[in-house]
Amino acid sequence: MQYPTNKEKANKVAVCGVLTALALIFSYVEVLLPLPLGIPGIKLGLANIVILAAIYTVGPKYAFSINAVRVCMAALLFGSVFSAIYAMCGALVSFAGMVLLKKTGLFSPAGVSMAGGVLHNLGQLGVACTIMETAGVMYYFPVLLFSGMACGAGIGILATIILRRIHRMPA
Amino acid sequence: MEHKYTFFKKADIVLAAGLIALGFVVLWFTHSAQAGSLAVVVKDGKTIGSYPLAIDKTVEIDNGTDRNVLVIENGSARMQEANCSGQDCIGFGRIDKPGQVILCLPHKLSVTITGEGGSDAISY
Repeated sequence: MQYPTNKEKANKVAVCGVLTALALIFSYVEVLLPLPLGIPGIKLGLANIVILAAIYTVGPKYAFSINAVRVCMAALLFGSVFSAIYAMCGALVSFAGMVLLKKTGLFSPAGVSMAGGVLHNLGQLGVACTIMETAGVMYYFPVLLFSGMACGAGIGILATIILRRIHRMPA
Repeated sequence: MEHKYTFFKKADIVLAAGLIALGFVVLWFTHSAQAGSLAVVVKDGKTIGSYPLAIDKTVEIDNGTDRNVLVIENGSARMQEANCSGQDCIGFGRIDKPGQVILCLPHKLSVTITGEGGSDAISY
């Protein structure tokens, strides 16, 4: 019985393609509409809605591919080589943390997303520390921690609502 | 199949509380220095100058390709000009408290307020 598994895989790959496109659109929306707070380095992380949904539906392995493709394409399309380093490190740290927290089974998607938001900012701050060769960058840590928590939790709540609806639909 | 996605679990609250606590600890550590009096400019990992906030001054940081203009006035520092694409450093606004920082990532430039030296140190 090779057929059903192949069909299942094809389904999954197709879903991943759609999710990647959606995540890329969210990345673009975020570039078009930056948060009007006037505080540098703070963003909503809209694309993380898709990545969270992917982790909980198609699984971490596929979600990782979606995220990797999204980050690379967003960097090529809307960013620079410079911003790409920050985006990749932030995404990697955040994704690893989210998958680990999800695996413990103790946290809700909103909690996972909140940690993801904080880790994303922390990863970028780590890169800034390394590139600028000064630990003074860490002074900015509290701002990024609190903003990452707030944005991450907000995005997580949205993702929870979406996940509830996804699972009400027939597969 | 029935999936239940709760909004917040106990562990989430604990995690949030822990993160908030961590944030405040770092905040406390970075801001517990004495009153800010110096703006320290670091470029490419090297301190290239420190300027007392008490003295109004316009500092031009230019190495031929990267140009930043730091303005110190009325006891605070702000980035007035930069020839980078992001212009994020200008978005940091005015800084005057110890631990506050202006970052210009493309130029590997940071301006940090420290409480060392200056008029406050003398008055003790």
